Amino acid sequence: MNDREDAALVAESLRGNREAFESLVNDYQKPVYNMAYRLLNNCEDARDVTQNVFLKAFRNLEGFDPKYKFFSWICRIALNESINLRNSRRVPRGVDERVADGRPLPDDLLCCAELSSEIQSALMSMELDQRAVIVLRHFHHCSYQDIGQILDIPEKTVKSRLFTARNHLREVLCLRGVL
Amino acid sequence: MSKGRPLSMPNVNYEELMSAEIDGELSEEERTLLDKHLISNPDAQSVRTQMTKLSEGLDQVKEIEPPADLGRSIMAALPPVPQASAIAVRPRFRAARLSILKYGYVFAAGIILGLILHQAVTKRTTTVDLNDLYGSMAPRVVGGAWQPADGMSFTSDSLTGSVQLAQLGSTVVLEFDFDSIGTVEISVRYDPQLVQFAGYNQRTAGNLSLTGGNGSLSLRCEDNQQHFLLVLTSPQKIPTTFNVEFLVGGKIVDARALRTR
Repeated sequence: MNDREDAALVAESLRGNREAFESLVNDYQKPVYNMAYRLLNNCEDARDVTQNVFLKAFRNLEGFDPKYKFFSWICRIALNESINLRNSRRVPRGVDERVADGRPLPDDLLCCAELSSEIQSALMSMELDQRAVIVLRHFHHCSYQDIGQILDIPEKTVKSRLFTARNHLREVLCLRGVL
Repeated sequence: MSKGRPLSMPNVNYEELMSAEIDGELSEEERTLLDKHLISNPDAQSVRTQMTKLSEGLDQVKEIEPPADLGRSIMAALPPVPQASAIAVRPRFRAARLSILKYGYVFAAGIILGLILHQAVTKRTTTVDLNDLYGSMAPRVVGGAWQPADGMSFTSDSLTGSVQLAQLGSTVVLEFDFDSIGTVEISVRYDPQLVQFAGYNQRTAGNLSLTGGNGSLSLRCEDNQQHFLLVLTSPQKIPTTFNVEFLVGGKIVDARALRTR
């Protein structure tokens, strides 16, 4: 995933080249899906969000500024879509949605270490804005600058929010005897 | 960033420094302060160990593979051209760049395509006996043997109502019930390899036109009150997404993905 290549693919897509947009979908569906899953903890919601993200991105391609990373732009759309979906479903906070929706975990998650599933469970006990900085920093390896652009907050706030989020996670996982 | 910024002892939050250390964002002064603090404070050492373990644990969390058909499903749901909703509000000076000849071709192609699609839709509608599914006095589709799968409701200045997605065996129904101010355009997109359009049924006498049928349906509703059903079949019974968009005055006022089970 190269920023200049992405910008060229966006330009091609705007000229009506659907294969160019398909390349963007192929490159970014996995990170978008993972981001939505980590934020919502539900496979079908993650699928719906990913689908809506690319639909909105396609409809608003003219609004993409090549000065910024395509990934940052699409992550921002994904974050907003996730917030909208969470608000529309109104799943009570603190409830493990894997249990709440009665659906099985994806195979990949079943294979994860216990710590990974404990982390995901602890993530769901956090406010979504704190969850988002953890997801962007640790799962998508975004810089403070990238996170700031995606969340539209100053880098200083990124730093303090990361601290608050990590501290919360640490306390939760300590209480559960994981750390 | 606090790189290079001198710190006075009383204001130091050592746990915040530990968090910044994980990200490689400590200045020399901050590192010196943190190291000094850790030497004389076993509790702080314990917190730092926990922070490090947490960070390592977070980095070990595996990526999840999206569903194999997701990319195809996304592409199938896209409109024919990017920024379709923006075209309606594009400034006049841009529109003027298009030649009249080009407009003519587009207009003619639109009419031909519309006629072909309309014929296809009409033909399909007449081959499906919708009375087998629901009569005019039948209860709402979401009741009885029909299984509600998903739904959306919306309330805005221009549009109020709901869409219910229900299924029975391989038959899927989208039930639209809404009030609007002005003309409403609705777009429904789905994967044509998984779903086929079978017909529609109006519950009110509102003015409704429908075109499309192969992965995409476009509806234009010119009355304020609408209640109608779109009937589709999904022979493979695979969970499928329907992207529903409502446009008023050419602008999207609501868009959702509804999904069968």
